[in-house]
Amino acid sequence: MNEKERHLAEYLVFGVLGIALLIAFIAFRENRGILRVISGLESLLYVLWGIIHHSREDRLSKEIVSEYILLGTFVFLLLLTALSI
Amino acid sequence: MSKDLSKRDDLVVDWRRDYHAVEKYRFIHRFLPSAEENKRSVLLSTKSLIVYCALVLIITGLFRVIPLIFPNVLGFATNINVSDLLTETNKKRSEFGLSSLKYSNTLSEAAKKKAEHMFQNNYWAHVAPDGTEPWDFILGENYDYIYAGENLAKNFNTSGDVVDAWYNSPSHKENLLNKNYTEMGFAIVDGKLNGYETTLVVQMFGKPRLPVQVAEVSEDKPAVEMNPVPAEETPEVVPVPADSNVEPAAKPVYQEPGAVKPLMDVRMASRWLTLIMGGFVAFLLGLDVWYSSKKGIIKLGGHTIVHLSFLILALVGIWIVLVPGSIL
Repeated sequence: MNEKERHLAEYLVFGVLGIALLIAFIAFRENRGILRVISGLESLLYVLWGIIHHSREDRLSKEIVSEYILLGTFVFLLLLTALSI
Repeated sequence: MSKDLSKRDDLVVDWRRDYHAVEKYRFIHRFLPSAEENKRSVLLSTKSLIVYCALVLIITGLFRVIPLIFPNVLGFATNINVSDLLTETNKKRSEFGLSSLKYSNTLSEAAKKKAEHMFQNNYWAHVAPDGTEPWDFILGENYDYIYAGENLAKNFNTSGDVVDAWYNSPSHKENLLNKNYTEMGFAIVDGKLNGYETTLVVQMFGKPRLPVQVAEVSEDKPAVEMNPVPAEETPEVVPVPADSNVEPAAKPVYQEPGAVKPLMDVRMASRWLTLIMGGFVAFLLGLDVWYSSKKGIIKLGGHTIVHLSFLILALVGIWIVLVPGSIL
């Protein structure tokens, strides 16, 4: 697998995660307990995706890890706020 | 060459002495990435992201506390009332040349009992987990009927939205425009369903049995027609599992006419908080993508376009969840 194919595969995984999030939000619209779990999982997978992607590019740093963690936390908190009311 | 460099150094020194130029530079790079430092804007720095997370937590906490201390300022409010529901329903009927339905106190009382039963037993369905049917509430109020029906709605903001949602659903529309009904009643009740603040609207239709009509009913023919929603469209009952951590449903609150409404609805406030904060960070990420590609800035951080896509997906998800109202 060359560099381009690897990138494509990784972005495909990211795209699938995103679409899965939207489908889950539509499917479980009435069940906010499940949506909270899904939100947490999605944020966690997003952080993991960022770490794996950058480590495979050999440019993983503390700053990048903290950036993904903070963005993932921010999005999770927004979702949690929307789901807690 | 050395002369040019010294000229440039002089320019930099002059620029740094220019207070307004420095202020302008600092202001711009609060929003835009810096080509000199290969960094994101100040408002997308690690510190700023921590501040945003803290802000969301604090404001969400306040949204939980303020309704308890100042319910008149921030609380759960809807603009649904019986008068508007009655008017809107009859308006739809008149569009089809049907007679207006009369308001029935008895059917309203049955609707109130149904809403109360849903809150107490934590379900959202026409038929309760214990098998109680809508007709049980109607008959429980000694309303002897020939025809009866029920429409349910929850978490809408206006009476018009409720009636429109029913009108746009074939099975509910059938109830709204049923020529067999002569009366209807409503209940608008606030309470906690499955642990969430919910405004339930129950609409009950009926045609009381009249002595003349009783005589017309033959023995082998059922005397009543029960018409909530067609059987095939009756959604399954979603009871709360017995071992769940959901607190027992609080006592429902009936919306009385003239009751004091809070200045701001907490659901709307939460929706705008998430959309404004998420939108602001998405805007900054968008600026970052645009400016970096325009100026050819290569930063050492994560992929901005990935962050932006993830945030936009989450905002769309929030929008889906917070679009008010569902009917049954």
